[in-house]
Order: sequence, then structure tokens, then C-alpha cells
Amino acid sequence: MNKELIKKLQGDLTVQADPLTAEECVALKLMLQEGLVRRFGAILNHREIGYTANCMVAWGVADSAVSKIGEFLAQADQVSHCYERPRFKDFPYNLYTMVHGKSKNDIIAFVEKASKDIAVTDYQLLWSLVELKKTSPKYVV
Amino acid sequence: MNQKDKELLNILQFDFPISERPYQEIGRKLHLSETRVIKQVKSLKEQNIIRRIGAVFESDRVKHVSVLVAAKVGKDKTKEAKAVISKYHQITHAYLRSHEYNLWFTITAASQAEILRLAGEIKQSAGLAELHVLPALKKFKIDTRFKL
Repeated sequence: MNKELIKKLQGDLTVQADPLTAEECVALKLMLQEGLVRRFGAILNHREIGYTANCMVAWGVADSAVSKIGEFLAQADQVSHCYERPRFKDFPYNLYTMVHGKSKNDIIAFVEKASKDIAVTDYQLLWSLVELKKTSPKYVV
Repeated sequence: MNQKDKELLNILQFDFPISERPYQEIGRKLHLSETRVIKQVKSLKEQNIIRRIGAVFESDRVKHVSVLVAAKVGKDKTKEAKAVISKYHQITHAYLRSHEYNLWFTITAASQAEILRLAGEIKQSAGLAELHVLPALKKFKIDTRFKL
């Protein structure tokens, strides 16, 4: 693994004519092919492009239906993340979706429709009240 | 944001050229000079519309584990929690949310053991009432791109 390159790519590339050398371009293409890098490009602040509402919606889904429902919800453009996670104390929900919208109402409308589509009425809306932190993971420090 | 900016942002998100002169290539698609594209990208960064330009790694492929943590923090202790969270580069996202479990954050670290150690440490130093570490059992989607 090319630690120096990972360190460079996990951060923010300087905006200049030649942000990457020819060698780095080849290495990055390989990392994409191998699946080490999921994607390369610009990461936007969704709040700044009008997606000001965001809500973590946790669904209580039968274990046998998680895969089917997870794959279904993952198809929606409004959903950026969709994961199965364990249930825990006083929180009997096992499927998490991060839903983005231009308003709270957009999100509520999406969730109500999704609830009907997947025939799951047991869910929680966890609105983000305060963003305490948002950075990118550092794999090489 | 005008139509040209939107086109540019779509290319930057979905189709960033991996080449020695990426902005020149983008310029060809948009009929803009390389200098003009660079100037525009810089401006979009200054406006905070672009958070960063780089790679998104598949954490397990770079030998890392990522979990979500649900916790309870007293209303009078949120400032303290924020200060503690800011000290850990392993915590990448943290939110106060509308639920009894009101503090949610992600930890990315080299091993499960490291995650549990960090979670314990954070629970203690931030004075969190309760804390649960939630690994992803299955990932159905991760895509934070927005078509404009």
C-alpha cells in the first residue's frame, strides 16, 4: 500500500493544473480497480447546495426481510447511506437510512411513502439538531 | 449557482478525470479554458460548496473498521462532549439528534479493539450516560454524491 499517496488522497488536493503526477494517476486508477478507493472527485457540502434537511431514519424490520428492504431503500436518490446494524437497549431498530431533503416536509413525505412501500410502520426519525463534527477519515496519520 | 456551475459540480463529483491535467479535460467538455475552470473550482471551494477534492476509501479494504455510536449526553454536557469529540481524528461525523439517544457519531480505526478502547475513553471523558457501539452488519448503500 502506498502510504504517502493514501495520505495525500484522504485529504484535500490543492486546486492547481496538475494536482496529481503521472505516477500517482496510475496508482490511483489501480486503487479504484482493486476497490481500495470507492470513488475519486469532489465531495460537496450538501447543505450548501440546498439539501438543508437531513434525518437518520431507523426502521424496525424483520431479520428475514432486511436484505430485500435494504436493497429497496438503497435505490432512492434521497438515501445516501443504508446499513443494517444491531438492535440495542430500548432501540429495536435494525435498518438505518440517511435521508436528505430540501425541507423537513420533503423528508417526511419520502418516509411516509417508503413506509407504505415496504409495509413497515415501526420507525424512528432522528433529526440532526446540531452538527458537532464532519470530517473525512484519516487512514494514514 | 448558475447552470455552468451545476454542470461543473456534476463532472467534479461523478466524472473527475484521473489525469495530469484534469481541469484542462473538464474545460474541453464545458468549452472553458483550464484557467477558467480552476478559478471556478477555487471559488466553489471558497463558497464552501465543495468540501474537498480527493478519494473516498473503502475502509475495510484499507484495513479499518468503522462503526456508528449511539449515546446519551446530558443537555448541560453537550459543549464538553463537543470538545472531547473534536480531539479525536477517529471521529469523523458527530450529531446531536432528536431522540433519547441524542448523541450519534462514527468512529473509524484500525481494529475493533481500538474502536472499543476509544469508545470507552470517550464515554468516560465526555461523561456520557450510556453508549452503544453499532457495527454495520450489512452495507446496502454509501453514496454521498448529489446530481445537480
